[in-house]
Amino acid sequence: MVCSMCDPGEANRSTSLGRPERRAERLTNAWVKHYLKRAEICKEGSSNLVLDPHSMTTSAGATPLLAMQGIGKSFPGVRALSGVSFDVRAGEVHALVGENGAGKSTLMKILAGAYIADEGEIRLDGSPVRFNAPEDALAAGIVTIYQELNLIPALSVGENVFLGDEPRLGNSQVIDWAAVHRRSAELLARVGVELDTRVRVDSLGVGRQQLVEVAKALHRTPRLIVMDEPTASLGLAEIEELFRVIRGLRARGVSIVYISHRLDEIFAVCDRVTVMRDGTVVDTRTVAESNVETLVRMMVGRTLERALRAPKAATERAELLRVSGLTRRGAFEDISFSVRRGEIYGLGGVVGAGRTEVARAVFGADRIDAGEIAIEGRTVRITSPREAVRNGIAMLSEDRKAEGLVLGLTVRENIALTVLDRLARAFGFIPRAAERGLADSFIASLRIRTPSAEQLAVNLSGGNQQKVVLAKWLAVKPKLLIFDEPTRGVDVGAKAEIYTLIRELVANGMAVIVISSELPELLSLSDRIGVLKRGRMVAELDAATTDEATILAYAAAGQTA
Amino acid sequence: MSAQTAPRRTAAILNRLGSLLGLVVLCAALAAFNEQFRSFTNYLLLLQQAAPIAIIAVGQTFVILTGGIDLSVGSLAALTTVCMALMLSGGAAHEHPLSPWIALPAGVLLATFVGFVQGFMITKLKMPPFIITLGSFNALAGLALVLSNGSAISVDGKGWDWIYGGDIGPVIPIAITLVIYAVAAFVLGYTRLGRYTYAIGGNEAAVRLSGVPVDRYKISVYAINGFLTGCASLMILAQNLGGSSSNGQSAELNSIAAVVIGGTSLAGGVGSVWGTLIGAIVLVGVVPNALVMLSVSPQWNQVVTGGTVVLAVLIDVLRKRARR
Repeated sequence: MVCSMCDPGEANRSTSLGRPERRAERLTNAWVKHYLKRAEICKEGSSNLVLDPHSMTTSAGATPLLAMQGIGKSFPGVRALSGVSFDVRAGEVHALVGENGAGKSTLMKILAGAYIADEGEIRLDGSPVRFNAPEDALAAGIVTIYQELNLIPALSVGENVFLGDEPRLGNSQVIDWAAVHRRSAELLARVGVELDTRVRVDSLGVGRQQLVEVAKALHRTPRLIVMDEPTASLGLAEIEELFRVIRGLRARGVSIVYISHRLDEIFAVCDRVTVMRDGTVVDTRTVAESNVETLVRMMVGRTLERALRAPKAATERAELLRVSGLTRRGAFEDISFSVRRGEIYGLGGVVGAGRTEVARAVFGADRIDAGEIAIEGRTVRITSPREAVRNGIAMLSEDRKAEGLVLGLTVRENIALTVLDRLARAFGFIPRAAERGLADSFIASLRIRTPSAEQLAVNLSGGNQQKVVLAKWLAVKPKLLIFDEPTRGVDVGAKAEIYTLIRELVANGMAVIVISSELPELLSLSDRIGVLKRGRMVAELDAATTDEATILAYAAAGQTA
Repeated sequence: MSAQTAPRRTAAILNRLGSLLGLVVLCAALAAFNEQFRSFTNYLLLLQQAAPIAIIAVGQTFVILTGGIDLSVGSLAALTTVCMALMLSGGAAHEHPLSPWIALPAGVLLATFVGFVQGFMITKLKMPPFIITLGSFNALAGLALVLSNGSAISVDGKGWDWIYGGDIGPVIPIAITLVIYAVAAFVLGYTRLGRYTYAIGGNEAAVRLSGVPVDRYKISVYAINGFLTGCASLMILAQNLGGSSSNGQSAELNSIAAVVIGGTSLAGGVGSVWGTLIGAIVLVGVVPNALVMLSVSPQWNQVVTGGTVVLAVLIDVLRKRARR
């Protein structure tokens, strides 16, 4: 994927567009261009596979490996799927896309035997099958790799690959460890990875863990692998590695259903794409005859309004946050920057460069070893999130489910969580009406789509969950709001809304720090961008005069300012 | 509320009433079988018997809702009754007997303090609740044994034994228990402490990152648990009129079982105190009472109560699976 960024022609063009009068146009389309550009390059790299006559024509007429026909599924009060037909050919990578709540997961759970369809039938090689339990699907050679990997962290790679099916010594109950490690090494070699199968899984990066999952799947001699958001937490290099593995599997005749929010990936590895919306299939077509814009239109059912960036009025506003010489050993060193009121400061860099760590330190979630933080010119000591909040700093974590929401509480309770001290009367009594009023006002102003404030947070889609977290923080009326990956796991429609909300906040004088791995997002939102590399600030760029290639050069290629 | 959610609400209410329904069916069946069981007095006695454990189970519910557990409540109850008895009787030599108005509150205070210390160790020293309270389970029981010298210290219940009924009758402990449950339900449902109790059990990291002083509230929960165990000890002392290391035996397991039967998740974050009340009534009220009424040997008691816990959880699991 790195290759697409370094294409010299494209980079030059972007730079020449960087003049002020062309800027607005460039920014509004930045992310679409980004997708298109990456897609072009990726297709080039793998065109021989995409246009492989075997996958494109020969198998088109033959019986598909898998055919799901007229699938319907209802839950109490919700029709999750109706009349869904979906087929996968042998040796095909088939993308399944749609906004959160479109029914992708339900469909795949039916395929995995985790849910049972109310209507419709599943055919494998043309003959009908019934999956009453996950074991049935596994026995039929259908393996699902979930977004949350199902590995046991404290066990070794080999133990994980053979979990539940350990080779034995002869007829005894004793595990043949030599065979476990030899055969798991073989399976890993098939996905092109060489690693010590005796190391614990939790000592590996997420990318490697993902490949261990694939090796584990291969052990089951699968005919179809379902990958649910496999790249959600991978870096660029790891994504490249995964793509290589996927292409290798396809070449060996294994079919893959590929679920992802990142549309550029679909153009990189997939042959056909099925778009779902509101529990139905909108269309299935070859990737070659699709582009990002048509996919997005099919997913959201409307053309997406892309929020125009507000013209910068006052650039010389008062400084709100100044960080100087901030150091946390092993995470980052000597970080200095400042953020003004009404400004969006972007933190760029590759995964692991220390962006989140810096933000967490400013928010008091992690201790700092050296350096100073000043709010409105006054030096403050922030040693806990509680003190950060008192000083007007709030932070939306990148991991919404683990650190942002209490999923088992209602929308109302989540929003009020930060301000119970303010709402509480004598004996800590919380007046329900005040709490309801607070929640309802945010549901209206942030357009949170929920049946009511009493809905449990767990039942909301990713974008709406993110809005609940935002509401919870807006309730404390912060001066500085830190967004760590604000649109991760959020569908396309909600993304644009979140951008608009962030812009509204700064227009009203708030200072914002945005951390994002999506460069178009970082570029179109930020006024200035600080680029981190291995825990050090390597550049501070004016977003108006820079481009993706420049940021990437600083973040990855090792230039220093 | 949209029309769509109305059936879900009915389902939720039915779900909540599930354990109550179980209790009613159980009682009806027993009443049909056994004439003695269905007398009004018997119902009162049965509730009176359940009162101390029911009160301890309230504290246990708070602790479990935060995602913790307390294995030491039985030992703490024993130690508290011994200390109360020592103060009331004026020590081993009966030299300086204290007024019940001082001795009894002092005992409750002591139990509260023990809970506070446990909470402190769990939060500030980051020790797992299971280990801390398992250690306390042994240490406190041992301490009770040492202080009581292995025998029961008898006390005069004059003027205060009405707490467990005394001359007035079982209505008093039943009323006290109900008041405690009502207050606990109010705290959990309508106050900051209650909200944080659920939220911490649901996702402690998120609550901490929301700027909530999590440690302070967790310590409060363990102190409340100690306080309620102290209150229950008072009732146990009034019941037995003797402080002994055998008081409150199995209270930890019975209270945890009552919480679980009541539908509170051992993982924390989900549950209610009213469920716990039903659990306590079934486990330490109805079941032992029924065994007596049906003239089953009391030796079977543990077998039946243990079986009841497993059965109740099994029903719950099956009910959840049916909903999938």
